[in-house]
Amino acid sequence: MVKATHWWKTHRPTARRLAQLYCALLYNAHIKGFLSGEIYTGKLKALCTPGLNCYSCPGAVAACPLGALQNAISASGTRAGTYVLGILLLFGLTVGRTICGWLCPFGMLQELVHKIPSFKIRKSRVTRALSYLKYGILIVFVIAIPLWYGLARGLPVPGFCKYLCPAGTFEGAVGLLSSPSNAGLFPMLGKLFTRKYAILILVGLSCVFCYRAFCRFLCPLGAIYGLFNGISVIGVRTDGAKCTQCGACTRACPMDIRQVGDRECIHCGQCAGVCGTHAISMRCGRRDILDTKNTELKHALQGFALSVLLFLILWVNWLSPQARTQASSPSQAENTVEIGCEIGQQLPEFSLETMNNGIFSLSDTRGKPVFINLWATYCAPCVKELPYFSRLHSEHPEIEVLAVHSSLVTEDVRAYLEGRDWNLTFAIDTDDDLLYTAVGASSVLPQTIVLNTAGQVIYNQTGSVTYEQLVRLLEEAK
Amino acid sequence: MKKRSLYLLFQSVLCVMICAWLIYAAIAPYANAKQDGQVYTPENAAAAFGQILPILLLLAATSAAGWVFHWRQADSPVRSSTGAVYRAGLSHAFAIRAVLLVLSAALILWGILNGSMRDVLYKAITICSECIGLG
Repeated sequence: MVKATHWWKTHRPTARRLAQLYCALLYNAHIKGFLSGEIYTGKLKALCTPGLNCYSCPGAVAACPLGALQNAISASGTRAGTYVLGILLLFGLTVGRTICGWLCPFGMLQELVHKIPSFKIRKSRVTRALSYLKYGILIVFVIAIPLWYGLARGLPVPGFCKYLCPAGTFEGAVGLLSSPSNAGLFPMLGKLFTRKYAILILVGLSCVFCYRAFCRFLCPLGAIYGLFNGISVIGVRTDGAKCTQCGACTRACPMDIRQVGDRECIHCGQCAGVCGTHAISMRCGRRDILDTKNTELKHALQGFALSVLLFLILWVNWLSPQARTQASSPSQAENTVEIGCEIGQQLPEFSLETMNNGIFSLSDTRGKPVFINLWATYCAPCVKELPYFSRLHSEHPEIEVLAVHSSLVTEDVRAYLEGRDWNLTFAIDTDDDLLYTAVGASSVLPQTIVLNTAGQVIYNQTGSVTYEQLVRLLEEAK
Repeated sequence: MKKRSLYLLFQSVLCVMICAWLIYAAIAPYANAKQDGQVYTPENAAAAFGQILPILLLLAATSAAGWVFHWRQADSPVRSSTGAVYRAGLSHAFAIRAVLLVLSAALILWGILNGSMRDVLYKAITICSECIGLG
């Protein structure tokens, strides 16, 4: 018993670990999503989390600042993404890289993986040099690629998310795929997934041997926050009067710092424990925030934080309008055999106003194969596959092809289509998502639905399609 | 070789093996890909993770044993190749913070008015399959 008590005293979670766990739960409070495989679609997602947390994670209740920044940059030709810039500036100014050390779930995951006993790579001049890599990634993948694709080709391509982000692969892709209800996503997996999955595994492996390898060498969000480290309100500070410049702090620090509080410092506070003269402390302005003797205030803050978490979990899972709508809507299993959006079922009748001021009525298409594509201007794979549908329609004018934009419109779709010579019937879904509901659309774009000449669904799949696939589907639909 | 070194070597090899297997499991399905181009299925994903499970459990067990029997010593002190340099407090820090705070508030407000906040919401509630690596 004494041994157990001693073990708990030496191993109990630190305040920093508790803060990391708290944030991981707070950012991913949509617990129901992990079971249902559906992402949270409430308005809270207009807010950004301070740390890296993919918004396609089934549990995520807010947006990832890095994903939002890339999308804002790619849309900079039509609208200045000042909101995301303001949010990042606010986070950097108030907390800086304290976010990396205390408020980032992916940072916590890396630290936990690093706890696996194995040989460890010590910091050196090489790791110090590698720490500059994240600035290159910031410039190339977060700024240049989205800007180039957005301005030159009109495609929203978040370079870092698409090519590198291991958090997106782990929380978004693997998070969605691990739910049995998303088994329909497997057919779309291919080389892109293999590449990103391999990156995730390699990042995980490097974190076993090297402390926070992703944060130190690759994370562009850490690179952004690092720029604010010198002026952030909260962070680790050194008292020049007490400091003897013994260097114990930099030697003990597992990050590649040259001095306490520089751009590489994640303000974890480990250095405060090794400082013999107590010159280092965690401060908010001039106030020491960890060594507070006011226990009443401390308990009040803990109670408040816990209440916020509990309320958020209740709200996003059961009380919010989205949660109640999801609970009351009939499941696909309750659909009748004949009418539905599953393979072999008859799609329910609908009429939709097209963008050339006509009416597309499903009942008018009987006897023809019908291709329905769900897309959005801000979805790069959607925009890339539309020319395939256009080519198919040009070569087979007897078929009907309807491209329906999501009701979530971020720019003038008509103006967007003006410069593009696509031979398709375009429509925007109604505000109450008439068509998206009829075809059982999920939150994943793009989605293609193919009806045969009898009006039965023969294909209803999310993910990109190739021209060859469309030709095969047409043969099947005839 | 000391017991600790042997233990850490064993753990390191296990970690590398697990990662190598996980990557192999992601590449192997290409050899048996179906004619319609589908590479991954829930079945082959479950089979791959089922095969790796014993090694994962072994890693967890040896890690736990390492902690219980103190095979793993406390982390060695990290040598720094650089000397310690300490910065003095920033003069004008308050003024810089105040200006940037006002700027960030103005940018956020402008973003709410010009619709870029709504853009963040719409992107966040729609999954772009390519952006998270699904394809």
